Amino acid sequence: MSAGMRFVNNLHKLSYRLALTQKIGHQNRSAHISPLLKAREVIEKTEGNVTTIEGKIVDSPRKGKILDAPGPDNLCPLCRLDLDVKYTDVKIISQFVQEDGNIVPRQISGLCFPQHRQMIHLIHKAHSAGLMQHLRPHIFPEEYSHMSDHAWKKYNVYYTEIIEE
Amino acid sequence: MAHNRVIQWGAMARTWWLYDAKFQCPYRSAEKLCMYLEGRHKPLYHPLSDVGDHVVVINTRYVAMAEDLWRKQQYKHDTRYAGGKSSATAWRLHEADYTKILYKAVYSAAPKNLLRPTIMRRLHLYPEEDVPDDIIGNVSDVIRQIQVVPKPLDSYSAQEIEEFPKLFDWPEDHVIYKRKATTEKKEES
Ligand SMILES: [Zn+2]
Repeated sequence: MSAGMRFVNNLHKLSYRLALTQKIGHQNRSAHISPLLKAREVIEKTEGNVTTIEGKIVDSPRKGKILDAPGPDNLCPLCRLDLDVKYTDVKIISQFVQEDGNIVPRQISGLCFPQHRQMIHLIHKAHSAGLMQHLRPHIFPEEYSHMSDHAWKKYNVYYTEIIEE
Repeated sequence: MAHNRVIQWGAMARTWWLYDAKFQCPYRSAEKLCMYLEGRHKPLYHPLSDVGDHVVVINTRYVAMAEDLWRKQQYKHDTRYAGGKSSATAWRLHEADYTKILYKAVYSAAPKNLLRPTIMRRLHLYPEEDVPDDIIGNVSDVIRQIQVVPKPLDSYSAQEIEEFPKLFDWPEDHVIYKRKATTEKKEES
């Protein structure tokens, strides 16, 4: 393998290191020190032939609700809390799901790679068990999504994690 | 003593149990239901004596299968005529009869002897919650469910989700995307 290929393969690690140095991945820790975090909301209006698209700056919907987890600063929020998250804990899992049903990128959520990979599996399970029906990916046709009535997809599904004796 | 006679009535009486099959695995519940149907939970149990109880199962329509068993589990049938073999996946059998999967699961978990038909006759399966009055009137106790029924995200109120502690905040250049109104779920006929 050439040196260039090796560099391309490690690009995701490089971007993660960059994110760490720029403190993008750990904004949750400095949320109460840094100035107020803002988000943008796109508003689309149509009046006759004229369509205006406005990017309005609003307060983050999560302002003031960030959990200040104990533990060392270099760990991700799930590692610091040391939680055993299961796919039925939809209140936690849905925080890592975007409005279009996909997972939030690691540079934003600040998860380490093992937790990120685990979260991908948890989101998939919660989607297939029909627990997050209004957060599903909308790019697929209806019969491929987990919300549809297509054939076997309307019946209940469980995963072996929640079996209790 | 007259009192011993009453104790014997109580011991030998057939009690009626209720079981809610909502979000329960049919195969693992069948093992538990068989214990009550055979009478294995009683101290006077003997495999040759017919001392089992009645079990009324509701919500058999909403049983939950593990992972993709709805698509992969095959149910086979043979009429013993030429070309009489057939097989159907679990979801196709479930569509035809909502009580069939739990019936077959209990049938295969029951002991393979001449008591099996009488045991199966004491199992009362209902796809929904409405049970005839002469059946539900006999019920005196409930069998505990084997799995936790999961709560979907829609069952929580918007305020409840908003006040739940968040693990990270959105970055400064994050764009809040509001999805358009999705098509309503088709109602079954
Ligand atoms: Zn971590």
